[in-house]
Amino acid sequence: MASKHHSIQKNLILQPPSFNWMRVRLNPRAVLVGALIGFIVCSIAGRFAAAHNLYKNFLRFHCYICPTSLFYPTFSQLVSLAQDGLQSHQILVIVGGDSILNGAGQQTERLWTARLQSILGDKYLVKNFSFPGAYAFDGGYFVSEYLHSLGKKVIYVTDTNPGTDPTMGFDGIYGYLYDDAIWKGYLQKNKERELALSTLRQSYRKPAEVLSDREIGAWIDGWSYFEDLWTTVGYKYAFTVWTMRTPNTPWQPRKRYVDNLVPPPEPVTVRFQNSRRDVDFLRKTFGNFIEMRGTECIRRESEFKTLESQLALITPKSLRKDTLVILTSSCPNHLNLLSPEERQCNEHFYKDCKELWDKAGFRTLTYGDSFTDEDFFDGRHLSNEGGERLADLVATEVRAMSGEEKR
Amino acid sequence: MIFSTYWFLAAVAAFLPVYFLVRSAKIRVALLIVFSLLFHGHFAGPAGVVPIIVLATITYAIGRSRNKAACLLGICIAVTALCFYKYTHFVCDTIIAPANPSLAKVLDQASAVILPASPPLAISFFSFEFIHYLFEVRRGRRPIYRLTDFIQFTFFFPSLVAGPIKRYGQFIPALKQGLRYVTTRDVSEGMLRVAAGFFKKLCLADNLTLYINYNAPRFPELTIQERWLVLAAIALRIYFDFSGYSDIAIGFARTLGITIPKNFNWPYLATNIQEFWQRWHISLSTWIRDYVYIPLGGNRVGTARRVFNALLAFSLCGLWHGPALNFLLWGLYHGIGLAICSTYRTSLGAAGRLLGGAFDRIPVLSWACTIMFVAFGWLLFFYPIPEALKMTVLLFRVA
Repeated sequence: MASKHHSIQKNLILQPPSFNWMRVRLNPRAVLVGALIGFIVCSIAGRFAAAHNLYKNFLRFHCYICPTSLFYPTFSQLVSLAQDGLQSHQILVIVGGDSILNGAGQQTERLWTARLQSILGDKYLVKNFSFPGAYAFDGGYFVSEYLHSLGKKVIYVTDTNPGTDPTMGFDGIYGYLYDDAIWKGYLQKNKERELALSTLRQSYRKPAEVLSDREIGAWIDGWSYFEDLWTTVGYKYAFTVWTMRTPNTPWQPRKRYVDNLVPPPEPVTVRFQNSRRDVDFLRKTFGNFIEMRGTECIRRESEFKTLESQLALITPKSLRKDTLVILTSSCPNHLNLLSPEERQCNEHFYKDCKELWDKAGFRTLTYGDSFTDEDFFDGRHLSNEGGERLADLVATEVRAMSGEEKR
Repeated sequence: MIFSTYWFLAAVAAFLPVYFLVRSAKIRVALLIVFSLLFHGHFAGPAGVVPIIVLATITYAIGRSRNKAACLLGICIAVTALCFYKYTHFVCDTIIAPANPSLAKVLDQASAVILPASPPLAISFFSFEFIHYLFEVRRGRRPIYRLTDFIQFTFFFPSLVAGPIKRYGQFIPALKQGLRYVTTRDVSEGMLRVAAGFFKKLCLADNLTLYINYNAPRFPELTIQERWLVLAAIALRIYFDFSGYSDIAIGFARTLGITIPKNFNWPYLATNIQEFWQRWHISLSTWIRDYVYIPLGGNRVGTARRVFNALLAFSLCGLWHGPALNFLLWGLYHGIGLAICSTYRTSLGAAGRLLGGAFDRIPVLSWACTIMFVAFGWLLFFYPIPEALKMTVLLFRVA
């Protein structure tokens, strides 16, 4: 009995399965034909998925449906989402940019783009395609460029720190959307952008093979559409990657996650307590462009020239009049921590950068002067109140851009 | 991971149909050589290719000569190349620096001028295969005369990066058979193995990596159950990662009609350390056995010498994984484990026999002891020694 028990136990625990049943039952030709058919079916399913809007009741790309949680919306999905519900008489307002326009600091029900939509009314359709950590001319911009090429009336609203290299969006975290758009045939490569891209990559000293591998991936996806299929499966049915954002329910489809991570704002008295790093960043930002010599602010001409040349590369001239660039600024609390001379240089920096953006043909908006600390969730992001005020400002600009009212 | 790069997938998707459609063995040889060299060139770059070509040329020439002294010299060259490229910084920083810091600094600076930023791709695998080849030729086995055969033995792309470490006596006949004809069974079984490998690597190992990277830095804050879960994840991650890689390599080789031996055989089902090493990274453990342990005397020497040889062999095995103290210690740890495993029944007298009997009767017990031993070893493998020790203590301390 003991030896029988022993042998059973040994069989249960120690004998690795042989998988011989697979060898016996599988017909090799059937396996190969099956693999080929499976590949084709997946590719067709991917194309089908790409053609339909995946994101129902969409408000913004919150942290569960964006690359910060390893979820990568595809360019086709952005295009389908942009066109979802768009009627022929409507003007599409695509909002790009970073976490400030993504509404980090605003609860879903008080998201600034929702207010923008309600102010603008039915004549416009507002879609928030901004992502945390994105640049001014990232995924959302490429969608607007593509829809422009289809003859749709599109206004693109984005934000940036005035001195940030505007070409960064071609190759940042969201640069995959650019490759996706190119290889799926939505956008054509143009000389200026490719020049910007190669300059950018040289400045990063990125290894060439990494970049070419991403491009090869985009090329394969251009005809296989596997990213569209996979993202659809991950959104609707089951996600396949563990992430620190979803530690306990990594397999849960992303559509089940609710956009509710924004905490209520703290009282203004404690909201800006840890501001030293932000203020240092602020000093560094204007310091790159303006040199302080005693009480004097001296322009660093080379930096302004570089920015000017970068602005010339980002987007075709014809689209610039339909592009509203919000030059974001820090909260009054942080600005007040600068010395009077530093504040003067910072203002100088904003004024000169704005002039450059205007000169390049973009419409620009700054909101720093009129906003109070209550309007900020933290040093840079806007609170519910700030979001509402921004929506009011942007609505006026958008109406002016569409010719509805004079600026 | 090279196998999951788009370059590799696109290149292999273009290469395989051409390889299947061509029926002539000669053209297949040419195709396979060109593809393997392209593969190596793309991922290793010129700085990685040149040393390997030089080393391969020397090995081939010496092998053809069948001169025993030359073979010994060739082995020394391969060992020197491996040590030079992989262990120079380690020797300077870890061995020389404590005794003579200024000399270590001078040597390190001098080597930094000569050495590339990282060692040539797969230098450890190349060196081990060359040493095996020259060792066998020195023993009197027939060398590879044909240059094309030797190039394929050296640069065969599926096993180039992470093994299995090939034996030319098995590989060359398998290669010849594969070049003559590939059956649909080869292709389908190969593809299934590749799919299984990708599943292990991308779906299991990579997810576990994310989980571990998130939890390991906050190990002290975790509950005791979560800590043990992290340990299990670490043990499973290394297995799925490495065996997945081996499966992909074996699967691609099989798709070409070439059978290369398996590298893992359900190692976590082993009931003692000896068995674990018969199931884990088989090509490396048999290499160490054949070319380090047996030449040192193997089982023919006394117990003390045998234990010493096992410790030495496993120290080398540890260092082979990387030039760092924790790898060395991991090797030693397994060497000690193996020594205990092979001697406790006799050295502990009645208690040893009793323990051995209990392990024989209750294999779950011996399995549990083995898996625990191996799992604790992975902490040494992955983390700096103080951190690994701290983690080990925390596994038994209730938060």
